[in-house]
Amino acid sequence: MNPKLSIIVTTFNRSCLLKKALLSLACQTAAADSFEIIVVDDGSTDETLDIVESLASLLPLTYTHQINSGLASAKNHGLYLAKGEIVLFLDDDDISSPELVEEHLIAHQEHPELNTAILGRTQLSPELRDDPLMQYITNKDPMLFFYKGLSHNTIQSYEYFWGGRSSCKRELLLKEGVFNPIFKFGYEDIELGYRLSKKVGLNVVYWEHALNTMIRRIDLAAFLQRCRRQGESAWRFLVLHEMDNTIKNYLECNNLLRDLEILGPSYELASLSATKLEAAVHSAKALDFSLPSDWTKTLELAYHRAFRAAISKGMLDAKHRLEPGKSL
Amino acid sequence: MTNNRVLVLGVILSEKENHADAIMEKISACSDWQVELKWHAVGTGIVKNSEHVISRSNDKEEKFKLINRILDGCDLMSYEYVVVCDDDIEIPDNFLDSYLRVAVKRHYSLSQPARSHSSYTDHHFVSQLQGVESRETRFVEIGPIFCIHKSAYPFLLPFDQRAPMGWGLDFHWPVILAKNNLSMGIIDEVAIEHSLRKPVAYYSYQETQSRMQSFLGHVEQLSPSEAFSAIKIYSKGDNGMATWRTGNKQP
Repeated sequence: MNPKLSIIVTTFNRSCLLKKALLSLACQTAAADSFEIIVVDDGSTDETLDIVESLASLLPLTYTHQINSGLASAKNHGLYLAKGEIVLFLDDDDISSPELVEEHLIAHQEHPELNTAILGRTQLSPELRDDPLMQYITNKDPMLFFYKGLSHNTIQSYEYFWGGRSSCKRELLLKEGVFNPIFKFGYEDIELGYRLSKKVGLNVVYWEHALNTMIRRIDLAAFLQRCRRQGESAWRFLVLHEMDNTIKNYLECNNLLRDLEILGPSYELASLSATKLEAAVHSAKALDFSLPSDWTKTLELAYHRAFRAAISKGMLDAKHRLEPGKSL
Repeated sequence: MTNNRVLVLGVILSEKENHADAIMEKISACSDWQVELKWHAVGTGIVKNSEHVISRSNDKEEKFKLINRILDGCDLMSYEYVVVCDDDIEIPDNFLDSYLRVAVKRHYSLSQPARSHSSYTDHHFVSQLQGVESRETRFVEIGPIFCIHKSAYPFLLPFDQRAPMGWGLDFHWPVILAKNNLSMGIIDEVAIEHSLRKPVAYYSYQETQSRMQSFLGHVEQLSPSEAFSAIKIYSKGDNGMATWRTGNKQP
């Protein structure tokens, strides 16, 4: 008999985190035969295969490999192997709560409509909660995951079809659309959500009991790099849909687009300022200096400017690479 | 015993915009196989490579009827593969050599190239996976291009006339192949572009749909949910790794 739900975990060179993520799926409250786990290895060169092999006797696992091709293609890869009625996309750096699978199943039982997806909740692990950057991107500025204003079991728009914590019916994707592989990193989920919303009126129901916990600390350099890549994807998103106003509004990029040529080139300086300021704050904390409260505000302002500049830089790079006539 | 003869056949809508000439030229440039092209042209439009057009008609007839008519005059078992191709696809250079290299390596008795993501798509399951060589599946669609190995000729040819435009065959074929222990696959490494003409542009959707329902009412078939789940996916590269599942691990 086929499992009810297929968990698709895409991964690239994060074997240590992947092990923890998979182990957390070994103690689910849902019946063991109600779900399968598909690990899509997007061309890792570390011990990913060894880790998955070592867990093969513990979990209903499928391992599959591709030459590094990016998130969208990896998610489709998992989708095409899935057997469950429901597919749940999880990140390789999140620990699932024991009830995660059960809660997604309950949520879909309550919302059986084909066009309804479920968004679970991701929280920061306790050791990440006092990190100023992690705090900023999850509580102050919606850069990573941001749940402010969402209530349990309420319908949200396609903008909440967040990869790594959402599930939907497999049939929905196979019938109405899959991830577009031009998105190597970032916006592959929202772009698909946008298409599904236009085609079948996708609804995303926020289900806060479907909980997982992020365990990876992202440092500033990595986050800036991530913003640049997201900027590139944002540009592709806009071009693919001919600068649609809905997407512009979603990306809140009208100002960015206007100032792209100014913000992009300011990237080096803005990122350097944020890096130095953050280092100063970390040093002060390490030395137990009490910092005036406006230091936090100053650091957040520096983050804000650096991230906007990084996104603009990514958009600008993509814009130059994707001049008219060039393939996306 | 294998031979290296391949029969490529298709139907050209010669009065509509098409890529038939480019397809014929690229396929003729194949170096590993001895290729014969046998096409039927509908209409009076000019076909540059007319030596490959073996018959013509003025009225559009049902595609698989025309294909069966071409097959009727062929010594099928003398071909290792038969490729059935529409005239509105774009294929890459070295298409047939690259494609058949994978079909042979994986022993696919029935196969198709994946479709690029910018193509018109009837079934998203056939959209190309990047970083992947091919996948063993329970589904190969009836167009715009597919390829049959001679091991499957006795079971698939001539095409079942109860599905004259082919609709529905693709959910019936996997049942037939499974019964005969033959495998089918989608080749991702060699994708085609299908964006010139919208599917169902020149025939009735309603009528074809109702004939498909009638056909499927008489034959065994897979549901879309069963059909659109791959058995195994092979990663790209000389040592392309295959999917393994707990319990049937194949490192």
